[in-house]
Amino acid sequence: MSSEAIPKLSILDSSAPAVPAVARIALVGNPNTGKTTFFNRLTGLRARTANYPGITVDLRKGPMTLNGSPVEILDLPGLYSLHASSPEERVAKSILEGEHAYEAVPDAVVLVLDATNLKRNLFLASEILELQLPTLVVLNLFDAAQKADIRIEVERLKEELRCPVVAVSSKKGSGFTEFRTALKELLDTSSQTPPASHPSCTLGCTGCTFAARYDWAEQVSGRTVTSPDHLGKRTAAIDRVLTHPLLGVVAFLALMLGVFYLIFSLASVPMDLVDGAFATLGDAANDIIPDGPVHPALWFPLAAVLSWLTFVGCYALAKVHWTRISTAVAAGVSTLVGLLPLEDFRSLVVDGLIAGVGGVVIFLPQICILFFLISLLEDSGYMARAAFVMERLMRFVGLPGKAFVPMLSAHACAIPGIMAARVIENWRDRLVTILVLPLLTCSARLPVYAMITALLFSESPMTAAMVFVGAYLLGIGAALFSAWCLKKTILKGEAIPLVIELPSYRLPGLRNALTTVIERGVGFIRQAGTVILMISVILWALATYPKLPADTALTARAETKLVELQAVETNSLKAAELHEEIERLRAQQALGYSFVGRAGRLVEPVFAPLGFDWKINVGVMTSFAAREVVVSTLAIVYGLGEKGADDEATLVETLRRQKRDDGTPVFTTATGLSLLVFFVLAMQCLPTQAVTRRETGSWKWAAFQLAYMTVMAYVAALAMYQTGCAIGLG
Amino acid sequence: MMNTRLSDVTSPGRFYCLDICCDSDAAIQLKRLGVCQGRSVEVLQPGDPMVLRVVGARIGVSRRLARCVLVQAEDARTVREIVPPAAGFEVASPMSAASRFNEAEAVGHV
Repeated sequence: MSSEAIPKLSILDSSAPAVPAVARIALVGNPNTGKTTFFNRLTGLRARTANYPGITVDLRKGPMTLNGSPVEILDLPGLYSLHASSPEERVAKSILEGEHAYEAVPDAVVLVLDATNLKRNLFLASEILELQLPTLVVLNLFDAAQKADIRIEVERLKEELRCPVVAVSSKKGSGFTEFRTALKELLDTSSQTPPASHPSCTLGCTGCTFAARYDWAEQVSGRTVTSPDHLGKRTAAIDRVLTHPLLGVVAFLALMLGVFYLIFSLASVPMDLVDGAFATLGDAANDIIPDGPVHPALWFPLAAVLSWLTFVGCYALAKVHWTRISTAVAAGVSTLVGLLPLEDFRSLVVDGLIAGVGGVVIFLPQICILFFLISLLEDSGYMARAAFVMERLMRFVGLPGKAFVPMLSAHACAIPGIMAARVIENWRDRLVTILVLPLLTCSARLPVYAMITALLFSESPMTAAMVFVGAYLLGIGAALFSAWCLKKTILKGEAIPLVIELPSYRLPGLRNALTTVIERGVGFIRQAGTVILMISVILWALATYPKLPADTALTARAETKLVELQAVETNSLKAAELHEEIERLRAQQALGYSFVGRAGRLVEPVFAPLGFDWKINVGVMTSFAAREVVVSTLAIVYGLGEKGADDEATLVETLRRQKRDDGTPVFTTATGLSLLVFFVLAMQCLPTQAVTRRETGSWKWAAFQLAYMTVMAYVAALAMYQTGCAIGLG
Repeated sequence: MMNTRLSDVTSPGRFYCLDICCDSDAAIQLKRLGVCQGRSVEVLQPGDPMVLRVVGARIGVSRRLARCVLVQAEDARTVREIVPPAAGFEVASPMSAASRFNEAEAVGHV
């Protein structure tokens, strides 16, 4: 690199803007060098993810103190070279070269190298050192290198690289005192004198510059590292099975089965606990809200302040700034909430807020377990092998082998799946993967599958199990088919062929896995506390208003029950049952009168060819934001009450009894299967849409995803229903 | 031995990379991982994808990409060590790997 091209350091350049009070350190390194574990060791749980407008790459930042002075650590995405190929690598490169729109050149670079394979890591070191930034080299995994009998002459390496070098073990936490001392010295000296110059090792090179750098890396490694001959034998032995064309696939399937088993078996207890906690919270809220009339002068400020505080919390969680618009929204909604009648307020809190958020937070245990297991598999080095063995299968549909990791995650929830798609370097391949991921069966679909299979095949468990598996396979098949179609049409092009490093196997660290789980869990709760909360409130309002006028006549069925009620003793059990039944029928009538009820009738002609009546349509519409809502909605619209959704047997029995106007049953096999197919393929998840927009950087792709999935779901459900009717299942 | 494409290698062995004859992003990625002109590549597991050992690390490469890599078995040639002893950091390799290969060819070792 010529001297003219050397980027200016903010701490050295007198013409630069004000010197930042907090030194900014960039963490750079190859993938699989334990850089994230190192970062987590330095910053603990104080790290946060920085998002920049128009950039889909997250940068993790975290504070640490160095002899009492605050320092900000920026964890750059792992990269093999400054010849960037993925969006993440381009961001890392742009920051280091001072071309990033929002991040200035760091004050110093901490270059994390894998001590167990210095030769490979020195390639990136040659590029980083040429940037002439103050650099500290960290030999991570030093304990693993010593254990493998690899001897590194650290002092000699310092001379070769002309920069400080410290040996650490992020997993054990050793070497961090030396690291802090060296970093402090580096920051102190670099603020006074420029770093030692590092002329390019490709100087005078006329051939391949990559080869020249590797030649240099091998020379330096040859002079400073002594490795035994047997190195890598254990990895080679394990790889004989795990990368074998046949055994590798079998091992992959067995491992995935194990992961799923653990997710579903371990999560059931905490899920019940979350469910119970939200039920208790709902009951508590119900008890706290007064039954009798409260003077408006007292009630209005109380309700309005509660609503305002909720906004304060949500805005803080979602990092929404208090602009004129956001303040006006909070003030307007809080005023409306203050004006709500007491019973409506109760319904908003219990049925809208608590039930809505609780319905999503219930999946938190599954998501945490999934991320814990994925983190362990990644740290162990297996994930690269899984991408390797899946390569050939995925290529048939035009996706890279690496797409399997997001596909695995999407079986718990599409949101972490879409976020995991960042492992795919090529943008087109990544986009196709993101677009098809929501077709895979996530856990929110399970209550819907369970309801429909119980409804149709309760007497034949084997058929029910087969239909259940069939729904899973339909999701996988539809995802692969859609990927193939997208690759043949709007996102033409073959998948970028696989080139992947297969790192040495290592014992994964629990500490790192737990940090990942906490980070992901907090992110999920933040989502539930903001976007999902907002959606729940909007849906509640649409399903509650306009209110049924008090003078509206009861339905014929309710009238019959009323006559029955008048005939029985006032305080008898039968009277209580009848009273409850009349209330449910009235609630059903009120729902029919509400916006969603009217909309359900309005779209009846559209969904009638699928075998859906207006009540199912209401379920389809209320579950637009979260598909599992369809179960509780069907429970309400078919006059069972919210509690019925918990009792599947009661719900199924009620659904089975439903008749159309002509006296035929609503839920025939054809209708049930049509509904099942619709819910396997339809988007029906607003939070996923929000994440698609964030990861693709545009609402355009989120809208496309919604459109193609809805059309596919409609067409497939139509075909299912019409075929079912034709063969006598209707 | 004749020059061959890496994708056509059917048994494990050490090879010398003569050229990467495509210019795609994936080819750049190959080079970044050390599969580049003038360097040594060891095939550990042929097939599709195949497993290679390059610069002390194992990498998986799909056969489609391996077609771009022109190699020659190392035992079929006697070239001096791929990495010559170098004097220091500044100019590690005064002669590019490709020119070293050409020199070896010229003296009739290939």
